[in-house]
Amino acid sequence: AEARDLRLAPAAPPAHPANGVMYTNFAKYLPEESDGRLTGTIIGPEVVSLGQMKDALQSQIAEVGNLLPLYFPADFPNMALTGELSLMGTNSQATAAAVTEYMVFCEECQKEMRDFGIVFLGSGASDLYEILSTKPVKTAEDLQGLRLRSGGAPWGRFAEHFGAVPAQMSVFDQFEAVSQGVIDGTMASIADLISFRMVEVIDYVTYVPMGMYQSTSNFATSTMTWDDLSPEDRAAMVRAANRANTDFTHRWAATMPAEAEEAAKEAGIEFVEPDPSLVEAIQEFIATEPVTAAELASSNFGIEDGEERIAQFLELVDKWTAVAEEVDNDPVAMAERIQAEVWDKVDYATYGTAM
Amino acid sequence: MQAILRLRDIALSGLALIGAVAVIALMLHVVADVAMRNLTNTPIPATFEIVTHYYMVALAFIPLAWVERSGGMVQVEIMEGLMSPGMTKVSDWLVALLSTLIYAALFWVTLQTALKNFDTGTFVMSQSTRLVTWPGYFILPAGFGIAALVTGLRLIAPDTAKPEAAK
Amino acid sequence: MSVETGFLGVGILFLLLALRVPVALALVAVSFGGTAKMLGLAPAIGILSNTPHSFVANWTLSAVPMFLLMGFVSYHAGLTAGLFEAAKAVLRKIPGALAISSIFACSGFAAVCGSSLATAAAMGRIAIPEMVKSGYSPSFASGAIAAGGTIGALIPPSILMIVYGVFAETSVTKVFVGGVTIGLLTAVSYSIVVLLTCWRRPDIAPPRPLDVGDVDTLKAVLNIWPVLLLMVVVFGGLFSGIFTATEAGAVGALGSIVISFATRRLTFGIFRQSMIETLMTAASLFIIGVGAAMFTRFLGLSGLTSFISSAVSGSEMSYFHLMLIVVVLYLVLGMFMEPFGALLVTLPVLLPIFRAEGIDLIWFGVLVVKLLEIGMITPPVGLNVFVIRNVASEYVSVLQIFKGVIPFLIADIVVVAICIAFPALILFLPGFL
Ligand code: NA
Ligand code: NA
Repeated sequence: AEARDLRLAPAAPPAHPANGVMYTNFAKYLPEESDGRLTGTIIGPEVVSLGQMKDALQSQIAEVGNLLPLYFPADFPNMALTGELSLMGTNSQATAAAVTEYMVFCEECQKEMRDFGIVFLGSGASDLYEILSTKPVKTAEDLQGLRLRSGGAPWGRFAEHFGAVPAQMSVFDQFEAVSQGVIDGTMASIADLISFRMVEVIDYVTYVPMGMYQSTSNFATSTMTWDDLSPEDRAAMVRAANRANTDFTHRWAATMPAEAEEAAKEAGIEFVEPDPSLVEAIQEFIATEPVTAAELASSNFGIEDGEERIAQFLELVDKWTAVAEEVDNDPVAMAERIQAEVWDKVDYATYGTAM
Repeated sequence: MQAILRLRDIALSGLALIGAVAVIALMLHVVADVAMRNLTNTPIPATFEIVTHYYMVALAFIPLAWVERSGGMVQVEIMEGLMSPGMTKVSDWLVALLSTLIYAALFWVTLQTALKNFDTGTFVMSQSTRLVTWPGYFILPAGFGIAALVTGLRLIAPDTAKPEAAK
Repeated sequence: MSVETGFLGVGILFLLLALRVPVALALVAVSFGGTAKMLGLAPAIGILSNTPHSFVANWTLSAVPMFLLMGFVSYHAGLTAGLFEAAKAVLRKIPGALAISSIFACSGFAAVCGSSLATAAAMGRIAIPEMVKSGYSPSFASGAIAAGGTIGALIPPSILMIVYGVFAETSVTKVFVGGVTIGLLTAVSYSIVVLLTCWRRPDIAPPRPLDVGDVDTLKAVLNIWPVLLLMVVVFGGLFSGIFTATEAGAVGALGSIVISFATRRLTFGIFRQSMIETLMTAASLFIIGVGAAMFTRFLGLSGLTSFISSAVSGSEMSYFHLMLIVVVLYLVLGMFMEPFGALLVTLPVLLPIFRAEGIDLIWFGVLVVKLLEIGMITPPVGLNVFVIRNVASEYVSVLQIFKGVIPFLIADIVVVAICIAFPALILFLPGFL
């Protein structure tokens, strides 16, 4: 029989790790894991962008797509909970694994994804965020009045807590905004220095604990496509996705930051050592985040057991942090552990279906 | 028939007025945001989202029927001069028919999207501000639907003079 | 992927356009039909239902209605009326002063106006009657203004450049700054055409200096302060970090209203007319953009985009060979299409090629806008020529204007060649940002 060719939408340009690593590797692993029964063709961001992912998957313009739940907050109240905890993470591979395990076994999450029309095949995470700015940030006072781009509500809360002004704008606008002085910098992955040419306009990098981008559904699969596939093919897709997920996190959290740091040093960007008092103040603030997230879940979505769920999620983070440290964040070893502890426990006759 | 056509033109001016309100609101809102950001360091929350989801959608789609009626749709007049008046008439009618079908299709599919978003109660988060966006999705079927009516009416009563052809 | 369907779609698109189907609707129809043929009805409906909103709900595009409003208010309220007088006063002693003054007045008007049509219309109303009266042939006079109008889209603000920036995901400010160079280069090249014509053909362009005797140059220049103030507000704020290129549109629009009101030039009728023209232009532009965005998605799904880009990058074509193809492509499209349609139909195919070849997208944005503006004055569809015909109908026919444009087209080709041979010339200024 002829192979089933899936339309894959990374919603990112070829140079971005979501395309160049995550989806390129997935397309390579698909035939390997399925004995050639499944293949994939990547369609570019000009066909399906992040904001168009919902309609694209629901109408099968794309059959597998890179979906960020933050773009569709009304549709993913339960998944939003893990996103609200974005400031807490300290290890990228561990956080990605924890989100994956949490989502696969969270009944409400599975239901809201089924209603939306997608099946969840795992998560990934960025590197730890830092402050990239045109003014040095050493103490809490330096944050006062600083205008910083924020990629989401948790960093907005962080900025406001320290008297900075969070600015909402497209990641494509941040280069221009910083270069013209409309904003003083951004709270982002250091990889932005190369992927969005920020290296030309940024003068200072300050490493402070401020989490990472972690609430993703890297290979959201259209339920129409999923329902068409045999349990064996579904399992094969999951294995391919699982391998590509840890590759992606490794690329974004390990190799890209190293390249970006190199480029930063070459460009004469100064790495600012934050004052211990600032680090301490940030840690104190972050410690209040679980309570804030539980309150938001209740007030925004009427989720009343938010506290329990958050505790459950943070437990998973601890468990996977130990694993990640044990395997030294190796992507292949991480993929094997996630496969064994999460995906091998799933029944592919029923997973992701209406049941 | 004359009464219907007059009523149509009055209604279409009303659409242009709504579009103009959206343009003015966009201007004042953005300037206020710039001023607040520079003077007091407190930008207006959700400016980006309100501009894109409401003002832009309104000024682009609400005046669509009025643009159609005023002859503002861009055509490539490569065949102009090669066609006899009779052929031009036939071609006008065929273009009106095709336009009506396309607008009607756009009306129908964007209406389904709007209803879906209404059911979900779609909103976006701008930092900690929650902005409801589903009402904006109803602007599209409204604009396309009225445009379909205008081009559909052209099938029965071809446009003679173009009012306020403003180009 | 079905490259054949992609090619078929392009063919049907041109057929529909030739049959006088509005550009926007032809793009919508082909994208829907083509996607349905390749993938079935559900994906085709998905594209139809989602693209209009996702294209229009765009922050950068919000500058389009704002820059339009600024230009229309400035013109109708007469803020720009003094530009021509001032240019005449300064340049009165050189040969062909009147024609050269009108070209530089076009350049000044360009700095507060985003579109070339509006520039041509505004300057045509003032300059052509005066040129004809002082002995220029009507054909040459209207050719000069039709061509001079294209500077309106080269010198920032420029709506074509904003739309390019959105599709190419590149810095609009940098493209703007690159536009300053090519706009001024164009103005200078047109002035040389005037000088040469004065020398070779005094019968159609009288070489004698302007006969304005005791004109007060200083006073004429000071008279343009409202326009200068508007430029200072917009460009000053833009480059000092008070607002972004997108926000500059709103500030400029409000600025033009406030300045015209404060100088008692703004009536309700003028405001109403400016608003009508703004809405008409913006709405007809956005619906073409929606169609083009659908067409982009269809071409991407068909695989035609990547097919052509890999064919070009695989053929190891030289830079000049590639550029020759690009120039010919836009000159041919420009003969028949209006610039936004031509831009939006071609970018999906060209951008991936240029990215792969490592060609600077700022530079290409400037070049492509220049090429599209040439299309505004080439037959058979030359929108600037049609506009001039509207405002100067008692002097010239369309054919005569096209004839008058020819020497300026030659200058345009020279400017394009310079641009391609020396990209650094365009990229010099943006490099400072
Ligand atoms: Na301009
Ligand atoms: Na032309």
